[in-house]
Amino acid sequence: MIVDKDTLATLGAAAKSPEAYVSGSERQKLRAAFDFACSQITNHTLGFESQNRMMLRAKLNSLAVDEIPKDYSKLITILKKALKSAEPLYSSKAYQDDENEDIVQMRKFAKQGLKPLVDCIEQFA
Amino acid sequence: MDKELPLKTWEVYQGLVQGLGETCWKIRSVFYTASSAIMAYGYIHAEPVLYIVAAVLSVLLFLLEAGYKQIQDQYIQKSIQIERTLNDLLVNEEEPYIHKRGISTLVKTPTWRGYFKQLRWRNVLFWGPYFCVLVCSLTLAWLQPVTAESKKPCEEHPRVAVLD
Repeated sequence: MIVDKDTLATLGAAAKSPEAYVSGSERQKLRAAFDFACSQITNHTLGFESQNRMMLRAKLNSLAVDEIPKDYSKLITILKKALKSAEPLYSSKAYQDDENEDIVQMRKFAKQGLKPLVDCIEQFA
Repeated sequence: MDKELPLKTWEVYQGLVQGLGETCWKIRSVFYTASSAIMAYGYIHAEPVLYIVAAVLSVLLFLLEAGYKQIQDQYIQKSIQIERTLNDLLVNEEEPYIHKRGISTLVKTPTWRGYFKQLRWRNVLFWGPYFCVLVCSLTLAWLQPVTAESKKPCEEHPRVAVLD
């Protein structure tokens, strides 16, 4: 298993019902699970981890095609997309004009980033 | 994509946020000095109407500052969007994020909904002082602490009232 069961369960639950992870401790839990899953994936597939999310994104984007094992190329592509779409998860919502904006962004992240990632990880189980 | 354009825009937004923030502080300092001076004058000269003036002033200045704050929040939100673009450029993203409205200094005018949003508990440090002054001035207007005492004009300074 590339990602441990608990982390994958959290990501799966958030992909199914993103509305429950919009704020509070659930949001923090999702952030932690997502960061942890990203580290586990790159450690398992590429043999490295990064100090933070931005450095991980920079490293992944700088990788040449031949540096990624063929078996994991789809997973890495999906991970890159998930990391990109996860940005609103880390920004403050204190200044948002519309309170529903958060729910829209979380749904978008679940649909575009989280669900494809969870589905892809489960294929390696 | 060139980094210069979003960076310059970010600087402009930050400048606007700073300017609006400074205006908010100016409004707040006027509120503190004016309301306390009016209340003190009302107390010394036994003029309960001045407590009402202080209460009205605190509401008006709250509306003014909250209006500025709504506009400031919109520019902060715009800055956050530009930061997302800059972060994408920083990590060499093939397709950096561009907000659906692109780059724009256009903001919505303050709304009543926005004013009510400023009254949330998390913003207590913002509305708390206004609320305190409003409650204090209304309480003083209701109790009229000095008018219960008899007073006579000062012999040396006829415009000043002194207590028995």
